[in-house]
Amino acid sequence: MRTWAPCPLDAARAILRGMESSEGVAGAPGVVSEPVRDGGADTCLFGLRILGGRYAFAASLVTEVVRLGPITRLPAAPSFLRGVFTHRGEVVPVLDIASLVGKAPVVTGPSTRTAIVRSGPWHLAIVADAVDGLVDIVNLEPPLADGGGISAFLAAVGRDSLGSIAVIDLPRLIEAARKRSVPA
Amino acid sequence: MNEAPSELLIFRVDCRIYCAAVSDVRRIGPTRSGGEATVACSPLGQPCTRRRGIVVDCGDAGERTLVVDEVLGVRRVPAADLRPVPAFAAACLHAGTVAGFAMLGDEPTVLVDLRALVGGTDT
Amino acid sequence: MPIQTTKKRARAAGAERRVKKVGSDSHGEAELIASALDAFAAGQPSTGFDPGALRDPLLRRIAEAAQEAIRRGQGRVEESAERLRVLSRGVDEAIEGMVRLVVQGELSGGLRLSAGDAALAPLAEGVGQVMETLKSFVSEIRDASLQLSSSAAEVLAAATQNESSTSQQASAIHETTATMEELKGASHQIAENARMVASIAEQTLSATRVGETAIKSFMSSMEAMRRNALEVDDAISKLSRGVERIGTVVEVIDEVADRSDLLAINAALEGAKAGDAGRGFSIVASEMRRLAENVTESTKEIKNLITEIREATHTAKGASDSNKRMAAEGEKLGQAAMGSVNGILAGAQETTDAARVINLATQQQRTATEQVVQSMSEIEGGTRQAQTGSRQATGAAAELTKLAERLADLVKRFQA
Repeated sequence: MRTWAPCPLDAARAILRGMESSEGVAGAPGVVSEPVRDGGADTCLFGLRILGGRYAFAASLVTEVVRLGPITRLPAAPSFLRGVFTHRGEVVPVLDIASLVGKAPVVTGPSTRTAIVRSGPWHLAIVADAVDGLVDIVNLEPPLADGGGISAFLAAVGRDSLGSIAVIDLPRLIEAARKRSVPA
Repeated sequence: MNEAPSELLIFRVDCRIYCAAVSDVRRIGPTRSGGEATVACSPLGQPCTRRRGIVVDCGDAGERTLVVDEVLGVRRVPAADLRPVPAFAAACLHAGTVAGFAMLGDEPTVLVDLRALVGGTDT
Repeated sequence: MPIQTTKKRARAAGAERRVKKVGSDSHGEAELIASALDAFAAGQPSTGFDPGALRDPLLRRIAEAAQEAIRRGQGRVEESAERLRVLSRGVDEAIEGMVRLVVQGELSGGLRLSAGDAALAPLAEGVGQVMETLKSFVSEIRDASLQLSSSAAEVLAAATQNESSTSQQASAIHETTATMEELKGASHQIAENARMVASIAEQTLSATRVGETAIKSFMSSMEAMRRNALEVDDAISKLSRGVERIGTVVEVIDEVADRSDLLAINAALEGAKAGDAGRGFSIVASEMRRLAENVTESTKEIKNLITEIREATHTAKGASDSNKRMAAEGEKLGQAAMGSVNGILAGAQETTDAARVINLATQQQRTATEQVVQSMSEIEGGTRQAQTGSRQATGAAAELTKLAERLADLVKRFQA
């Protein structure tokens, strides 16, 4: 299912609803995103703190927020793939957005929280410095010009009661990570 | 992972524990320094004490020895305790050295494809 | 002219007058003979008396015999006179030799008389003996004079040295006396000081007794301090245990709050996914999160407080330990001080005794010094006398030396 918005803000809204991004997950085998329910989902974003700032993505992608258990490092893995951990008997890979955008990795500990997300065929955990949970964002605006790093994956910027917050196009980011791992 | 190995060799490189299918292992021997057939430095890490060598039959390539610090033993692992590589991780790993995970305790232990590891790694 | 010569001439003149008066008769002739004999007797030569002119043969024979006797007598007189002259010359030579000997001291040559008269032989011999004797005397005197001179010089030197020694001795005695006077003064000073020392020792004794009491109070304070420190330790331990317990409870609360928060997050997510139906659920979840966050904030504050209490307890424990150590050290120091005080007490007592002994000793010393000064004064008097005597001896020795020199000079004049 695709919903193309005529303007960037519409696109952002679509992302907020958990729609597939422009780069989508077309290549992912046999998994289809759940349809996003309408009504009140415009503001349903999930907030977390990374890179010293507040970021959010579609809450519909988040299946659960858990404490990050001990990570098993994977041999010959890219740096943003921190390893795997078990959750409810399942082995879940851990993605570090900070490492992906070339910044210092998130420091993990026993109380570090991670958001388990399901984006298309991928089931993974996003590690963060802290988790804010659901956030209500108003005044959504298009992001500033692409300046590299995390901004390449931003869908919009807005504000909530605590201040400004940037909205990440998480499926696009995950796809970019996957693509980056493919050897040339 | 073509078949679920039930017998796993548990070994240690540096401070990390790995396991591998016993069927892939020809024997455990002493480490011989140097030589083409010895794999000292692998993605598993740099062994410290280099006390053991896991000899792997690589078919046409002959025998290759993976230098490890310690061989902890062989454990029979039920198929239910074996996990495949998660899709996202598999998409990010291309060397094929990780065959899956064995749940030896609470934490997943990397199940190493020894042939892929020593066959595709230069000494 | 000698008197005898004058008498002889008077007698000769009388005889001549008598020969001219009685020439004409016998009696006169006899008178002539007598006068001639008088003249002869007077030592005058015959003045033309011719016995052949006498008429009386007897008288003529007498006169001739007399003339012969006179002639012979005159010859003998002349011989005697000659001999007398020789003798006289010999005697003169002898006298001259003696004079030369005496005046010029010439003894070397001996006496040689030009006249070889045997009568002079005893004289010459006698003079020779005298000269020999003199020579021997002179020689002995010269030796003696030399010895005397040497001895006199030695005596002078000895006397001079003696005088010098006596002077030095006098000076030394003087100095000794002065020193003894000083010693007397010093003894007095020492006695004074000893009295002062005794007085100070007494003061020290009383002050130390006060100190002893103070140390005893100090030691009981230290003991009380140590007891208090132990009680404080106990209280701190209890406090520590309480704080640790609170810490554990807070950890549990924190854990519960964190889990609640996590649960609330997930509940909110679930509520969101349920749409309108889950809205109330989301509100409850949100409220639950806020509560959990409040609890977490509170536990954070409690944790901070616990940290502060831990630090304060640690500091208090350190202070208490320090107090205990200091109290223990204080007690040790007190004991040491007590030992020292006892030592001081004993020392002060000994000092007092010693000062008394010193005082006594200095009194004895003063008496002894005074006696020494007295003795020295007497010695000084004796020395002064000795000095005077010595000076006189030196003077006498100098005189003696001069005399010896003079004697030597005199003796040198005799050339033996």
